[in-house]
Amino acid sequence: MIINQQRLIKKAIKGNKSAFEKLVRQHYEQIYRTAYLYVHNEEDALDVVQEASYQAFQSIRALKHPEFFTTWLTKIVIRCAGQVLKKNSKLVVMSDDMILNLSQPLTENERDSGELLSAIQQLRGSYRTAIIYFYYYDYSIKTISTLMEVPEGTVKTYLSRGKAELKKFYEEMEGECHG
Amino acid sequence: MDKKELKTAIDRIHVPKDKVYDAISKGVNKKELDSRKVKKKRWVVGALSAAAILAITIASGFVLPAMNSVLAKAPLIGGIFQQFNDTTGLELANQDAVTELNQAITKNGVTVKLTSAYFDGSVVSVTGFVDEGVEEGHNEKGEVSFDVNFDHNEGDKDPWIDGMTHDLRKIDNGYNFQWKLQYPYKSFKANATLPITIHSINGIKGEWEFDIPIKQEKNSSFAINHEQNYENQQVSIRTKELLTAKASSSFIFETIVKYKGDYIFLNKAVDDKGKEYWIGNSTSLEKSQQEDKYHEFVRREMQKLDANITSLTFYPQLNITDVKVQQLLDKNSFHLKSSRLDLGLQVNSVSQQGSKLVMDYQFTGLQDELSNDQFHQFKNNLQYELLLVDKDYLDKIDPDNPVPPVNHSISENKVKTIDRKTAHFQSTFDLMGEEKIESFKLENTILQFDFSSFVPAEDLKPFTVKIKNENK
Repeated sequence: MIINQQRLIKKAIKGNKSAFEKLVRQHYEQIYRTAYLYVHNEEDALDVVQEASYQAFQSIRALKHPEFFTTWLTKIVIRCAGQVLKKNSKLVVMSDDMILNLSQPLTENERDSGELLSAIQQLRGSYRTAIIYFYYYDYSIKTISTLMEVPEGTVKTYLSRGKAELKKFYEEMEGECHG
Repeated sequence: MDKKELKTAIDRIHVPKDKVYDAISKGVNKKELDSRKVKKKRWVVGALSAAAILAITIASGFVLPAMNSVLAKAPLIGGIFQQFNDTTGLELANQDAVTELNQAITKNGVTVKLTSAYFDGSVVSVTGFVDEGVEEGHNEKGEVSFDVNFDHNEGDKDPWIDGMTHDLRKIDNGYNFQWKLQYPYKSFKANATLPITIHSINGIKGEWEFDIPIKQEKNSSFAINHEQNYENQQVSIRTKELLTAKASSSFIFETIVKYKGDYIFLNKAVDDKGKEYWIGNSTSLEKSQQEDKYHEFVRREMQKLDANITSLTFYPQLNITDVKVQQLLDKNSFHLKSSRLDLGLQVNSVSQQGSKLVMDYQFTGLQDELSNDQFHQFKNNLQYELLLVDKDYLDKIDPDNPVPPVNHSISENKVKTIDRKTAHFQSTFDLMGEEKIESFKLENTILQFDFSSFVPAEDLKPFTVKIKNENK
């Protein structure tokens, strides 16, 4: 798989469209979910995937280190998500009603996931990005600092503040559900 | 909260694989399409995001509590709509307004069965089942693609296909699918049927032909004749009619624009009690050119309007299209000015350096320094909004589908920021790259530039229409 991916990346850098498409498809779940965490709905998330695929294909020739393909693609996805959000200039946040509606027929685990998701979605941009990179993609602080173009110390700040905010949202929701 | 918990939560986001694949493919192949068209589409989709609030339930695979009562009443059909998280379908099933179908056809080892249809407002839904015979086709497992036409139309020239979306769920011995179509005609026929021809599934040929009833009881209609002019923007909107069906509403209006390509979309509507309605997909019903203006009749799906509302306020947005500007590169520096916007492009120098063409330029007329987001957008768009084309091939570009002529144009360049504060950039075109201009000479080359993609959509002043219910 990994060897195959390296080969595909090399082909893609040379401008091979079908290799590129295959490559992006290998990450379809990850990129869609990442987009979704920003834009909160299917239509916009698909839009982000489309635009990111476009932008990535346009600029893949500039990718100097094939081993960083995934981080590079993720960065484009997050940038496109930001652009879509900005263009729409509205943030669709899950309202309390929606969360309540969602929670009824779910198992406890599913409910917890739903709450956590909506909490992530309510985080401010840079905290959310740092949290997604760190927890979902397992990137190191150093990699995140390169990706976000901020010093490592700032990444740490984003992560700790993001976590604190998540905890706060989470506790508030827990309080509402059980209280 | 720990890492695993967070990952599990994110992994519960339902991923519509087919649609994501489709989006990737569209993105990768976008250059071959009319880039402006795609961009417009993107905007339109963006405008739908409010409509997609409901999609949160869809994407999380969660179930609305109200569904349970529906399921008790219409177990079979309701179950299918539940599978697709189609709340409209569920509501209609609850009102006995869904036609149950039982039409099955087997061709070349693949059985297709249509199971239900409904027609509500402007939306037609068809659900069906295709057995695992499709897995013999050329698609990957888990993918099902139909080559289908409606109402005896052929190929892409089928107005039903324009707004069609499809969804798929794997079940035990095959796949359930749902197609949603936008009714494409201006008037509704009573007791109509919709002929469906599936030409192939996953590449397996065979004509699966169906004819299904699509009927809806009379909509209640509200005439709303109102004209809203926006003199500065030279556009107007004429509202015509609001129709309310059992589970949704739709709205017909006419837009009149001076510049071809200007596009008005409606973000949302708010009634006199402050309730906000989402506005969904749009269907173009008729286009014409009258005197020097472009007219278009549009039907847009809407969330069902409450009874007894007395007025509705619409929030329109305008996305403008600028005329492309161009300059023969027989001079070293020049200024290009947008015909409609206060934007200009000052080209400071153009020079050929071996196999590269280097252009130094900056934007003029920008009110403020570029924000972080604008800057990234500018830099990104600049990579493909500067087109070099051989002057002898300029007229070969079809204005309706402006694909740059192969071997006679270069549409990509590398962008370097010189000074962000003054929106000053440098573009380098590779003259010997994948794209090239045969027998390149600077003085025979035209630079073409489109300012449209550097302006965001403009919010137009909201307008309110009084509503008189004719059925009262």
